[in-house]
Amino acid sequence: MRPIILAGHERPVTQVIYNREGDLLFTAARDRSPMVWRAQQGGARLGTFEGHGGAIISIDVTADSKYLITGSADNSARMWEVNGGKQVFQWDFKCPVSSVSISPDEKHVAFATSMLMKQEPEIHIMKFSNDPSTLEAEKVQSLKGPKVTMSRALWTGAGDHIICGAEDGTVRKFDVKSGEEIACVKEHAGGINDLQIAPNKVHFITASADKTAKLWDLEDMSILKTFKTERPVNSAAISPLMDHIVLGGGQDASQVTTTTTQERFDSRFYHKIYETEIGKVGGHFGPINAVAFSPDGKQYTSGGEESVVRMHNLDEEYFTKNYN
Amino acid sequence: MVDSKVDEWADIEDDEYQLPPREETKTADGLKKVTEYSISVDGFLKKTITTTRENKVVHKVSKGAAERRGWKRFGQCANAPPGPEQGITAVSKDTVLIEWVTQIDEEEEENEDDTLEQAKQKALKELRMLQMQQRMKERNAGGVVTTQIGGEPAKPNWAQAMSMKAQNANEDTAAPKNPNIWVPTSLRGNQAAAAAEGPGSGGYQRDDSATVRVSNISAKTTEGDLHELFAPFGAVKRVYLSRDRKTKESKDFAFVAFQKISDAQKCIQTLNGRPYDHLILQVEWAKPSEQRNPSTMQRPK
Repeated sequence: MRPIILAGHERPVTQVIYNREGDLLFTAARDRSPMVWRAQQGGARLGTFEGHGGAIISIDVTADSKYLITGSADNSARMWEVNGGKQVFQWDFKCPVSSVSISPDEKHVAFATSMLMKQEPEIHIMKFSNDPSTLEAEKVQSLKGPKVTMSRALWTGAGDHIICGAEDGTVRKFDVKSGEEIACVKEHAGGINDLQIAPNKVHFITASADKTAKLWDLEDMSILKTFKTERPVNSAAISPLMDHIVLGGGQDASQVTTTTTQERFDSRFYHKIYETEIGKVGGHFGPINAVAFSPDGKQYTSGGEESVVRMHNLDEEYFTKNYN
Repeated sequence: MVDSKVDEWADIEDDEYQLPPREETKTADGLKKVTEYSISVDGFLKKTITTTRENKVVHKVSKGAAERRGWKRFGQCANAPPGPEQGITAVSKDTVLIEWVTQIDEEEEENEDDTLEQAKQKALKELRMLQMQQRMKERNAGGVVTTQIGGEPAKPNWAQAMSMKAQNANEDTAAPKNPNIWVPTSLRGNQAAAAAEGPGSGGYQRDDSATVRVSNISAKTTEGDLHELFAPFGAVKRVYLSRDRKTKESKDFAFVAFQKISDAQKCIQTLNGRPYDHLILQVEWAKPSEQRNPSTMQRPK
């Protein structure tokens, strides 16, 4: 396969997501401009969202692909019209927003704020509406748990729970209505860098700095599978089509220039059930910070510390190969 | 010639010079040719001709996705022409393949299947080792007639040696407390006997009699090249090219073991002093390993 290289960003990529139909790819990086690309038409850039004053850490898009919400280190989260790139709403916080997640019914949105300036990390549940003219910055619930930055806080199930992964290695589950912490499991020895919910909505996967990724059961918070690598894992995604997961990672970014070993930065494919490594795809020149599968499972995208996003249309061989 | 209205003479050229416009032509066979001009980093006029073939492929997309196809570009790329932007979106020049890592698993499976075969091989290897050990003992005993092993008179008698080996082997199996623990060959069996025989004996030793040492070979010579070079003289048992342990670079000498001493003799006579790869080869008999320090590894270095 010949990957499509998207070189629009100027700083390390932080998150890549597809919209529901998989025709648009949204990328966020530590520069100030989140971008949207046409994933099925050769990766042409559709537009950039201008207005943020700091690094973009997390993004989420509505199911109808009309609005994008971005969380930034400039202590704000903004809502944008995807067609035209106009900012339609803004939420202000006291510290950087580390995670954005829209609830399944699209009536609420969860923002996780990180620990900075003596502010306690918190998940803010705010009212959300698909009509920005009626939208107000109204806080519905506040969830407090870990005393460290939460890398991801996502809605699960029917939208009554929030699951979050934190830098102390804990995974917590909150009941949104009561605001209580239902479960707190510490299975990772290192911080959790990414948490993604499986396309089947019953599992989720965590990527950790302890060089492993773990597949969890959403209901009882038990670990089903563990995928071991030799490098810190920055991101993990579950294929909607095959029994595969893809891991992105690599050396700690702060050590890349100080060590002499020739480092390879591969996206690594693991078998979801056998926990064995199937294959790897190279190409990046820095650690991979974000990976995502397209909703049809025929494409996957990785974003690297070197600011490059690579879109891979998987070969026929990948789908026909016998993995047993 | 300088116009008085212009304040800075250096600006003249820059202002007057304009890039030729972008041209787009369609050829008869369905190819689109786009000619663009730009100034390269070193100040030269750069002409880029992009030839593309447009294929119409029908994709079924959802209503929403079809609507989104008509959306106009915005933000940084609002004024960009349709299609991938130059310098932003590019198809990788290299083909990237998924490097499958299935071989290891297959090997493991094979190993599991062949445990019996493996055990057999291991037993055979051990037997061969014992025989070799015995032969060494026999040779030492034969060379120095006065040496006595464990009070027994040393005779170059194979049958007796076999029985002796069996005796030794019995002692061997009786001595170690745990058979899983590896015991150096020099410590196995009758230790007093081993000590009496002196250093270099009792352990596994390679028969170096038909081995030649080749020195002054060029750094890029490989084991394969040496095989090619020495094979015409007779059956080559082993080629050992000395390499640096860390860098894996050749240390410019090698050992070649022949099956027959006569082949090795012939090789030395023919090859010594001959040029090979811009250097003059030096071929001589390898010094037997007994003469080297027994504490070091018994492999030629």
